Amino acid sequence: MIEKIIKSLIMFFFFYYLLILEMSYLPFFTFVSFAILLVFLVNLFEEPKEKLGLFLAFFLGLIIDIFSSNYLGVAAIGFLLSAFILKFILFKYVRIPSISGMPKI
Amino acid sequence: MLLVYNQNMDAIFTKKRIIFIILLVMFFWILSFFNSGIKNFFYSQSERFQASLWQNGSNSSFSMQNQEELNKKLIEENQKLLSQLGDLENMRSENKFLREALDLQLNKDFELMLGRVMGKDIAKDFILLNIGSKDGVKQGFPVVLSNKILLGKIIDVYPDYSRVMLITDKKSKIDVEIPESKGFALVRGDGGLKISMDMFPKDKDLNEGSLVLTSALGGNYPEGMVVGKIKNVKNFDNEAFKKSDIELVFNLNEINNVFVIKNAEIYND
Repeated sequence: MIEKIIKSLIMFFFFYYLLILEMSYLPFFTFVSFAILLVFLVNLFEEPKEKLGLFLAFFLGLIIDIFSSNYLGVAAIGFLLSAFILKFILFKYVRIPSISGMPKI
Repeated sequence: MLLVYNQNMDAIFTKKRIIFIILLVMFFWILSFFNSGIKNFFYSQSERFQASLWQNGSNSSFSMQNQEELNKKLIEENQKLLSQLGDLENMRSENKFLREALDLQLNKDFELMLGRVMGKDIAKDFILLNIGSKDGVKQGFPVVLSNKILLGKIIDVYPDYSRVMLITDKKSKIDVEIPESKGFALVRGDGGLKISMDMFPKDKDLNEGSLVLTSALGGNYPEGMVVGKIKNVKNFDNEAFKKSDIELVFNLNEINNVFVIKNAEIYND
């Protein structure tokens, strides 16, 4: 349990600083959001039954809510649902080789 | 948190998942009462980091755009760095910015507050400033640069920070006049740091490069602020008005400090 909480906190702060970097430094060079791309790729290549991608999507959404004019939770729930639907579609209809070395939660 | 995910992937929305989402929505609904405080806390934690990143990004990008200017700037910066500390340099640039505003008599026309840009919203055309309700910022206050260039208006206010909706945001609408053509029109934000003009009378001439200024008609912005220059005039026979793109006269990458105009009773929506 404690291990899970520590992992979640590490993820939260990783995205927190990644998003600050994207908002304050990267707009000068690129319009691509690496955080969103990362979450999408994890959800795409992770085994559909694993939960890391869902956690990442939730935390990224939460931090986007904090740093935007949204109400807290709008992007968090939106991203979580999108990740879940993506996983569901992958599980049901698509076969993409998953990356076995990906950390698990 | 995601225990309900389980192994069951047969149905997309099971009873457990729906209950979980409802609980999550309720949790965030309660949190929304503390929206301003929570955001202010996180902004204050990252202010220094964010502000320094913005300044570094601004300097780097500006350099990449023009190699000649980069050389000049580097030589200048070298000389300055020899004689001044980093903090003094920041103060100096702020002073220069203020001096420009004084020269243009911006401060005589309006009551101004100086704000520093901390970052840009990743999805929308919003920027975050380091001044908030404690400094007297209110929703609807116009945000400008020292040379009367319109940047946008305050859309969200937190105790120590505020968010600016740039004129390029899709929700932005500005009543403008083109002094050269003596005509009025409407400028809309297209998103992605682009704006365009619509509703310009067909019977009036519209020339490329003409200056577009805010008009007093809308009441959202002070009169006479620079919005941009006319570019790509579109005059279609089947449309009642002329349209055109507008070239912005500011480069967001070069902006570190902005002025917030404090005359709320006039410019609040």
